[in-house]
Amino acid sequence: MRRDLLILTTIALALVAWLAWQTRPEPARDGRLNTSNLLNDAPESFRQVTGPRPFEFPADHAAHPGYRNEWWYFTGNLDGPDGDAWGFQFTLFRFELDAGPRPDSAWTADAVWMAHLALSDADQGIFHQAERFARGALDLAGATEKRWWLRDWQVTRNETGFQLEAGTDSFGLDLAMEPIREVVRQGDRGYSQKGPQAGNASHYYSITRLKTKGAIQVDGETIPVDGLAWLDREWGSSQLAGNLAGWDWFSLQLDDGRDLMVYRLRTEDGEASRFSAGKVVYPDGDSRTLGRGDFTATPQRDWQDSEGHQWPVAWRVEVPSEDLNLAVEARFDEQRWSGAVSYWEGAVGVRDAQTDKSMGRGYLELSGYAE
Amino acid sequence: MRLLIQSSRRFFRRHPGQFMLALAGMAAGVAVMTGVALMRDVLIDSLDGAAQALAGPGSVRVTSPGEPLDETLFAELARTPGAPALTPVLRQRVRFDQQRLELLGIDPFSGGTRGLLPPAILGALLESPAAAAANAATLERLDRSPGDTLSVGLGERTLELDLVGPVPAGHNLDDRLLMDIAALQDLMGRQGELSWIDAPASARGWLQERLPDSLDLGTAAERRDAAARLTEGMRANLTAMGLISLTVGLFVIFSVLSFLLVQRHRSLALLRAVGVTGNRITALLLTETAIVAGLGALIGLVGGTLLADSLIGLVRMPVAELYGLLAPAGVQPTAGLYVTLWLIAVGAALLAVTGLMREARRIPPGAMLRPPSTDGGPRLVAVAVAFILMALALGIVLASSNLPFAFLALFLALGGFALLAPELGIRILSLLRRIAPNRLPARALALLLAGQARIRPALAALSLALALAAGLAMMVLGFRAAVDDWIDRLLQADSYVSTTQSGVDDATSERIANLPGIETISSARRVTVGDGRQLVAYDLPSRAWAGFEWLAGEGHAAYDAFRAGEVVVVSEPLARRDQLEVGDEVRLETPEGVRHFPVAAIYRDYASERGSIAMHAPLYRELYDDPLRDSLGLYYAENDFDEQALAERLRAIDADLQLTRRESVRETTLAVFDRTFRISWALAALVAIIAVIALVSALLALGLERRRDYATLRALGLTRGRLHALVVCQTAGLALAAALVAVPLAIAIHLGLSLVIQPRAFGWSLPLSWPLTPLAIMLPLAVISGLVAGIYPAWRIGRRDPAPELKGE
Repeated sequence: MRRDLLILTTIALALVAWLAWQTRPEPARDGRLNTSNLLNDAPESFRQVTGPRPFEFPADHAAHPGYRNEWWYFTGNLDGPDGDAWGFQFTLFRFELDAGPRPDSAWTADAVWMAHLALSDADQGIFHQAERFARGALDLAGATEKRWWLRDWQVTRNETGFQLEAGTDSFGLDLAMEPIREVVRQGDRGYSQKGPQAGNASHYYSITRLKTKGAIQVDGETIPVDGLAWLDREWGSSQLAGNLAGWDWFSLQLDDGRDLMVYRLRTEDGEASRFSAGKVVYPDGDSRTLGRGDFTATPQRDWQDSEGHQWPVAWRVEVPSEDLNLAVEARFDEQRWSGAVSYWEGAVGVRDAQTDKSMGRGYLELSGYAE
Repeated sequence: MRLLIQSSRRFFRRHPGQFMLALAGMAAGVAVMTGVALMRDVLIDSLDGAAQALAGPGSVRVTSPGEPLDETLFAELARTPGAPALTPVLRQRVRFDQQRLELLGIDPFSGGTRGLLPPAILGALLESPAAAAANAATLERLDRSPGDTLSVGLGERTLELDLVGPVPAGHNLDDRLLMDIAALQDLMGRQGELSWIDAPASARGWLQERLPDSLDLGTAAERRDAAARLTEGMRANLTAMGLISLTVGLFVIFSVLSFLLVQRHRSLALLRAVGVTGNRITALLLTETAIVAGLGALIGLVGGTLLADSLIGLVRMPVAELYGLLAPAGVQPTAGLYVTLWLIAVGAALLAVTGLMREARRIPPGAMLRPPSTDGGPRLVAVAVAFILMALALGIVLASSNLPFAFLALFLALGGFALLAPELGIRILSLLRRIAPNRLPARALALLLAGQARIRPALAALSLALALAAGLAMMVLGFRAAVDDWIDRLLQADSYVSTTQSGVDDATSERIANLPGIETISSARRVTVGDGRQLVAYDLPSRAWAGFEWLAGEGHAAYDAFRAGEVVVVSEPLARRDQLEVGDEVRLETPEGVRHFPVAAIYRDYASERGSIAMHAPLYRELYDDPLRDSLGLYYAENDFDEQALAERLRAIDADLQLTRRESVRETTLAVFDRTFRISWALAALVAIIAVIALVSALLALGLERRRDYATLRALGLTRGRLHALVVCQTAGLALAAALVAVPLAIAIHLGLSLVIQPRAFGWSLPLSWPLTPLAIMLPLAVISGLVAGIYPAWRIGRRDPAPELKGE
């Protein structure tokens, strides 16, 4: 009797399982892009960065067609009226498409644009993020000397600096950013070599301090803020060598007036590549290039995201020649991008590793940990 | 209870055939029901498939009625602060062999299409202007792999597409190929155009504030409603078939379970004698029914899903041809649907056996012999209820003109008939018996009549199924004849000219009219105006006017007023839908403002369910500023006209012109008609199969119940061969009786579908017709089925050793 029951139950369960399989949901979308591939894959038809070139402003604020990728990258730390601390990021990425037949249509585009907008609520530990794409057609996205935009998110250049306006239903930024340092040419006069091959490089300039004032909107509330921002501009074609696993990039604004940018290019075995580099910018505008041997960056603590990936969100950064021994740590751990590109980009605090005294603030970017 | 279940288990182990038959009946009924439910959903989903796939469920859609959207609207909206996720789409319908496909031009970086395509496919679409991405099911149906080319037709043009994929998307993208919008615009020469813009439901208010009045903003619910309305007639047809097959399936369950009860009469009586209460027995039978019905329904759900998947092509093609809707090529079942159907089926099965429960409870303790037959004369109560149901049905039909009520009436009438059918069938069997009273067939029928209670459900199920199949066939044949007649009258010209371009202009039509050998020409232009109504602009010579069949009004006399632009004539579906009568006015929104025209007459038309308004062409051209014609009718001056030469002359005027002979227009129309009704034939065949299961189960039950009688006959010297003949006579007799009962019912179903359901579902009426072929086929077919269905029971019964049966073991 038990056996009969077992047989019937088994048959019934098999039928139910088959029916359940029929009602399975449609396959989930996975439009994720690999960060390293975005930067190392470019056919030969693209222009290569092979050496320094003079920068010309404002012309070089505009897009540089012919290169595979280019970005306009703002990050910054802001303070609210009640001692509340905020971090923000606004980035426009341009990916130029392979040359090919160009259909006769207003939609035909030479490039695809991606914009990332993030607001880090350091006190509540909330990371607001929004991602947008557009083709470079129908005036949907672009970058000229005067304006960088994707749909209604835009940065306009005026006499005093830059005006950033970007928002979503739940958060937004409206910030006036005034450069208080000159443009810094990264690497060798703006030629930033990142790998051994010709073309494993970018043209790279920064404005490491922009006095920032404006307002942020969060959940319908408008909060006046001020603080400091940082602008990075970079373009190139096959910037990274093929054997890189990712990078760790620091932009730190120290209270003593120095700004420090260092990046560690990680090889697949986790070591810093010899093309890792950096720059110290002094309050008077002078700067000094840092080579691989001039600094160390050592992870101190990992944070595990909901997908199980480990992100090193606390670091020891040492620049002996500058007498800097810095403990750099995320203002809060969960500042990970979960859109088309998986990376961690967040506001960090900087302390003296010996005395634990606060020394400044900055931004940290981690890539290649979720691929 | 354990003892009871043991006894039930032992029984089923000894008689696995019974168990299987009950399962099969239930499964078959539920399968057709499930298949129909799934296909219905596919029809409703068909209008919304592209939106579901590209913009997600529940999206709202911006369209520009009657013309393409301007792409700059998208760019402007998208750049506006606070813009929602907007999904621009350009759609182009093309053909591949007999299949219809849609090319959907999308912007993979906007709105809902962002992230739809894996990077490799995205790259291919952007980099190759002929790349088109398909999902796995579509590639399979097209018999192509990624990397292959596909030649699709657009009018006279052939386009070569490079297939990429598979796109990881479900059935909503079936037969829809995704291209980059720039590539599609270029390929089709449709620069600047969009077909629509989709946006999330939450964006409705935002869009409403910003869209110009000339644009339309529709919700997903409205699109589904539109698809539901368009396919209403077809879905209603499917639903009716599904319900009827479930009913027939329940008859099978009932007859099998009642047979089980008979077989176990002895053991149940024994159980009663040892003190098992009637409630316990009821509980046992309910448990058995629930197990058989539950398992059978599960098998039915699986079978129905497979059935729908294989029959869906029969539904998709007419939907594409008649309504221009691309339905998913596979069904998309939901857990909710499965659970609902399962509960309905099991609930109905339990309900169907309540009568048996009462019978089981009444078994007196220790009554070892089967009860004496209680089948006296006609059951007056049943007959009375039957007549009440039929009267109710008639009342509903007379009182209400809406479709659901018409179906309710149909079901009430069928229910009434199901009650009446056994009485009629038994009468017929008695009459048949008297034809040759002393022959074996008559004795066989006498034995059959002695077990009336067992054959009643079979008679009802069989006659219902046969009548349904035959009645449906009669309706379809009658309808086909009506359409044939209509198209034959309507096609007055000798041949027709159409173009692959948007239409034939004034100059071209004048040149055609002046070709040698052409006596005169007619023209037609068909456009959709608000609310889905069609406006047809005719240039008709009096010969063509004579092709209209007037259902109301003085159509023939109205010719002059029509040509003067004073009146319009409307089609029957429009008159019915808008409740128009001759003398009423139709309201038309024209670019010149709102105009009203008196209706001079109503004509028969099967071209559009939404209905058409026919207007004199010069008036239309003036009001709508549209100089084009879709087609021209050519009237030859002489009968033996050189069409070859004509075709060449037409090509010389314009290479896009196509000449179609009158006869092939008619053939095409009828071919579309035939394809539309293929699904009805398929379902009718399935119902017939279930009916055969019902027949076999009833006869098995009967045969086994009568085993003592058969054993007696064998003991008295009836050979095994004669016994076989006896049983086969019974099955054939039963089938013949059921078929004879089905004749009047088939006619009634035919009349009900033609005169009541069709006008309500589609708006058109069918002239009364008497296509008797289905009846002529049904009668012999039923008898043959009866003979075939008798073979297995005959073999089972004949194989038994008579001795133990006689001893009552």
